[in-house]
Amino acid sequence: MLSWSIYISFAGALIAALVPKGKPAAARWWALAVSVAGLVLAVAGYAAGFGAGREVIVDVLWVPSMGVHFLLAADGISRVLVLLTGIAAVAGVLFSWNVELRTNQFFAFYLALIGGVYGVFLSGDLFLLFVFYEVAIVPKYFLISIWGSTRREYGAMKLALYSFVGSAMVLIGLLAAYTTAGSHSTALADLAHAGLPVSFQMWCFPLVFVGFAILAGMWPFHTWAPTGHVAAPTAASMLLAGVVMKLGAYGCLRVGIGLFPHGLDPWGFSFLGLGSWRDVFAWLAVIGIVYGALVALAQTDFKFVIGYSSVSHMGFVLLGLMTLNQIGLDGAVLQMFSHGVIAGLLFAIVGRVVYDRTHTRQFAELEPMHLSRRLPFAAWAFVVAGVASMGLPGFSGFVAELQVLVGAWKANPWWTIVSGIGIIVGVAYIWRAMQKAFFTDALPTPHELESEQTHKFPPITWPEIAGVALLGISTLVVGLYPRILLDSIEPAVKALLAGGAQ
Amino acid sequence: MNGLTTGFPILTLLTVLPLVGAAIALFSGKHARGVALLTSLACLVVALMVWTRLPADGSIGLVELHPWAPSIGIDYHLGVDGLGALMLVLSAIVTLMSVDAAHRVHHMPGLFYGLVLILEAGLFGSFTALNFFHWFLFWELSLIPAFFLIKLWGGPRRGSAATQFFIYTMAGSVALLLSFLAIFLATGSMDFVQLAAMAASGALSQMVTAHLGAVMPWLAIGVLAGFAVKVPLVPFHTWLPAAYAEAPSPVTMLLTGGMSKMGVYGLLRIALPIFGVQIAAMRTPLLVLAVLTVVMGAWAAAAQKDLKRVFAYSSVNHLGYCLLGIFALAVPVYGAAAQASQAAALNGVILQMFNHGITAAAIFWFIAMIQFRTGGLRGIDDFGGLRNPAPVLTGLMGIVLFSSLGLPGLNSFVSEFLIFRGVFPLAWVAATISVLGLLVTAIVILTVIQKVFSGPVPEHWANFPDLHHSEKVALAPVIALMFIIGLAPRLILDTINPTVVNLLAHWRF
Amino acid sequence: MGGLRADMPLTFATYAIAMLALCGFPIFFSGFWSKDGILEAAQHWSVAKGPFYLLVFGAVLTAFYMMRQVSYVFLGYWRGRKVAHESPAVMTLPMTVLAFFAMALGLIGTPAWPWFHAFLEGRAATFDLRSFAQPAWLMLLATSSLVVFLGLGLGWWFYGNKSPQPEEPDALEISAPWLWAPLHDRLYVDEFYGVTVIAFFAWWARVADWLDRRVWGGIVVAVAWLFGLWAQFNRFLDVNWVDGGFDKTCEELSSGGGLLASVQTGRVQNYLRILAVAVVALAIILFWSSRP
Repeated sequence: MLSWSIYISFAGALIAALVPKGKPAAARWWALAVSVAGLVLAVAGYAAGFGAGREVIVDVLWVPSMGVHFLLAADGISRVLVLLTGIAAVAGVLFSWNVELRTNQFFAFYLALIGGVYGVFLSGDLFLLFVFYEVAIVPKYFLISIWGSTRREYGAMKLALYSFVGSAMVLIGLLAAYTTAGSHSTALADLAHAGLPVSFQMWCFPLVFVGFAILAGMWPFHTWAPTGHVAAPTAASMLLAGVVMKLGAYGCLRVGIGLFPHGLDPWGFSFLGLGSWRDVFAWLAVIGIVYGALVALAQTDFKFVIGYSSVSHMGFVLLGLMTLNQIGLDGAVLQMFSHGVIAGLLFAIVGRVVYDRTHTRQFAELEPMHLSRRLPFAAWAFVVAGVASMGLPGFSGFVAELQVLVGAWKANPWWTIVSGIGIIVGVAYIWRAMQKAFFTDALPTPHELESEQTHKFPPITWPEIAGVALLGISTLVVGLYPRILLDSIEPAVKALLAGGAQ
Repeated sequence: MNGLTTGFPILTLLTVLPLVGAAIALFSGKHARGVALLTSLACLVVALMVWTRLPADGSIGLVELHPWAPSIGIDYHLGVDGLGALMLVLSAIVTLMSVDAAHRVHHMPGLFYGLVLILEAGLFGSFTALNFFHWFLFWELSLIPAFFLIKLWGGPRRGSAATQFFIYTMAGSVALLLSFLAIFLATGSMDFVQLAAMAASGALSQMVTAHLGAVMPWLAIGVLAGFAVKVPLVPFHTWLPAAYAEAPSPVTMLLTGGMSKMGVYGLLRIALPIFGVQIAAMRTPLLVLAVLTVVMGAWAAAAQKDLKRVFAYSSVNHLGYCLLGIFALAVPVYGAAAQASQAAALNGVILQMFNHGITAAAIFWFIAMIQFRTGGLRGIDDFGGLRNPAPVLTGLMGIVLFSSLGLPGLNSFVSEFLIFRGVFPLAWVAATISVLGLLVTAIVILTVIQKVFSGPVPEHWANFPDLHHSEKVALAPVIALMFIIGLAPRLILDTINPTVVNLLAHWRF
Repeated sequence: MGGLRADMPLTFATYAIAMLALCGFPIFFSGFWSKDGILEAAQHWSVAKGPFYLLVFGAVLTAFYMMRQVSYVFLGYWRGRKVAHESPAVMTLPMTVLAFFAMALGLIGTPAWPWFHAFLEGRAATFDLRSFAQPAWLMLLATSSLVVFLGLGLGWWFYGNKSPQPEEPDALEISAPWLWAPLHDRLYVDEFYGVTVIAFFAWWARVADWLDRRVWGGIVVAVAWLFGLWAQFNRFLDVNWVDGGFDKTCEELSSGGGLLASVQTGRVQNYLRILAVAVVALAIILFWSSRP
């Protein structure tokens, strides 16, 4: 059933492209229908598979001579991420309700991107995963370069280049693994049990991991993220931060750790205090957490703050992956979901609710606008999104960070302590952004009051309210009752850890 | 673990009630104050019901226990003993006082009273929680309404005061969180009751050392850091004077009457039971800091020219007595006399939490009244001779000020006496130096009385309005309470003492 | 004031009784017996005799200043502005009662009937006039009385019935100005307090405030500022090095590509030139390798 989410997304993309140019309303309603259908399928598939283990949905031999299967499978992790994609997709459509330029093409690319993402999360075959992964990059480029804002061509090209470099690295690793395993099959399960030699894994793992981690925003390969997010239109940045970065993390987990677990073993020697690839990537992740937070603190553009905050939060995901224990990996997956929703909400508010009305993202220009009075919906929605982002208990981010930090304590206490600094800085940059953008202390001057009257903002529309509600409720529900996701994630992670030990 | 609820889930009701009230108040416009008054009155009634239903032996009662997310140690575990119940009653009283004092809020009243009620829910939640997740949730959550109450209705430098308050407290909270996560890793439990039992039997440090090495002292420091900022403990207190001064006075009442007690409560519920041995090992530097808090808090109050800042520092001083009592009793004792001293100190600390809560809130209430009558003035030199045009105000505020001073016959005397009675045998050097705090506080308060109420009346204050009837009616119960506790402290001590004995029996130093 | 003996006779009478009791006028006034008991105890104190002499001196002074005060207020003539009149019964009645006790309470202190002493020691009190007869005790009795008379006499001699005007100097001031000045300024105790205790208090208050604003507060501000600095540094690093590094690499690649591309000019002459060079090079190599 879950596989239908892929099919209808692509089909929907195709049909959206065929919608006549002059009817934007038709295109957006169609996109909404398709994404809602995808969400419904995701929820239904999630509920049906709740507590169940890995199930194979489709297994068709695709390229028999190479052993490539069209294999779609879902375990708890996949189901959770498919659910995330469904939510993010619907939210993205809602926040793109005001796109007027070439609406049909916009939603065509959008739905194609969604389809690719669904495909990655449901792939059980490495080759298929790679195909969907690449498929997701192309629409992204167009979404940014055509419908984006600040330096959009540059941002789109940068994103594409970084992604392709990463994909190239993954491809090399993929081919190497395939051949080393005997060139029988590219199914993930087969490759995992192929008994790849440890020395091979030692070089293949970092290659593949870095390849995927580039898209996950690991420091120092992260700079595409802020530029790309800022350049992208609202829905694209929501998806970029919310879902596409998770593709990278998912690849790190499913392919990197799943196929090459011994790549994380200690080297036997210690270099600068690092004794394994695990140490290297964990420290890069921790650096990403603190660094991303610090740079966010120094920004003058509202959207850049959120862009860097994505880098910081993805650091938590990568750190969780590197803990290699049950609770840390649980936290990593939960953080993928949590950040996906929260980042989506943040970008939606900054992009759609604020920027589309104020036409500026610079704090210096937003401060005199006294947005807490003129856009109270945006202000208070941002407060909720902001506190969720900083990891306040009651929202999903706290549970995820809690698990990652416990996992990190287990693995190496220093990772936890340095990440703690990142959390404090996280509080600081969110609070700074919130105050500068919405809640200034200064009272409005008569001149400002006058310009407020002459330049009234368009009212808040129902899609914006619906989108904020959808995302806000998602993070709140998971934050207050984390078992709703954890009960799916935990068995899947357990199986992955057990299966990895060959 | 099966769910367990002894009877009606009254503690959940108590926590949910203000949230419901807040939701209604947010959309009530100018009726928001009425909604808030009704809600806080209802909460007071429920809190008093909780007070009367405590188990007689001082153990934790009214327990609600349901599994929530067992794989990460999270349970829905609520319960109160004498300490918790007293704090609930205090929070309810202080919120009621605050709502009553805030009748001049005209700017976005719905939001104001909504935030006040959410803050009240935060207080209730953190005083009834017995699982770290639940407790931490309310601990952090209460910061949000407090921040916005200062930020949106405060004085000229409200932005920086509110931001410093928020981020400083959060930084301490992160240290606390990290330490607790380490404890969770070692023990698999986030339950305060279980962890306290493990600490008492020595199993806790064994488990932590097995998992993480000799980090227990560091974890204790991390946990103490969180509370040191909140209570506050000098020198982590610098957020307080600015926050108290810039906040509108009704909000200051909540900050000093309720939120500061969250820190002391946390020390008693979490730090001492779980990290008793480590705290006992660090007792001397902690006592030094507590004495500094008492003495420097009082002396800094003497140097202030703004009435709100005077009493902000005075709050630091009064909370210092609580810290003094807490750290003094953190020592292994043998013999009935020493145990009696510990019990006296702990009784004093708990009673002082309550007393200071209502006294400090009342002081800021009076300052609010003075501010309203003078168009916002609150400098210590701005007034003079108010005794003549406003004798009732003088009299009642005088009573409250003398209560803060610790005059026998009023409430604070009993608690301060108990604390010193307990601390002198256990840490006489600290006690002796802290007596300076009493002296300096007396000088400060008498100076305030002299400058504000005595002396010649300046021309422009000749028509200073005295208290209205409604204000007298609102203040009367609070002042009566001060006398009642001062003259018949048994009413509270009889319920607290079994809890004190119970707590001390289970704490291991 | 002055001359109130005539205007307020009852007040004068009760006041005089009280004053004499305070001074310790012998036998009939209670103050005498209590002071006497203390003097006796001081006299027999084995540690030092100093307190006894100081107490005696104090008794002299007491009588002196009380006499001065009574002269100023009740003796002489009225120097005030309005007319003085006696207090109403609601005041004079209690005063009378108190004056009565000022005399009568002495009875429970006499050695003849040591009721209070016995009460404190927990034994029965016996009335025994013979206790008056001990010589040492009589000596003390005489001394105390002498002391009181001396003080009262001195006071009368200095002040008596004279009623100096308010602006005139005090009698003691005229005769012993060197003594008068420090006494008038209360032996400079208040100034001493002001310079020591109060100055110390104010100084500490300023220190506490300074510590708070500049030191503890300053540290917090410094930490926040440092983080801000670190943030700016990281941002600089990101924009110029990490990001810039990537951009630079891309530029290098493009120009490198351009360099390579410049080889593919598409012009036949260039290719022929390269071919020619290659053939020559190949010929040289072949020639060189075929040499023996």
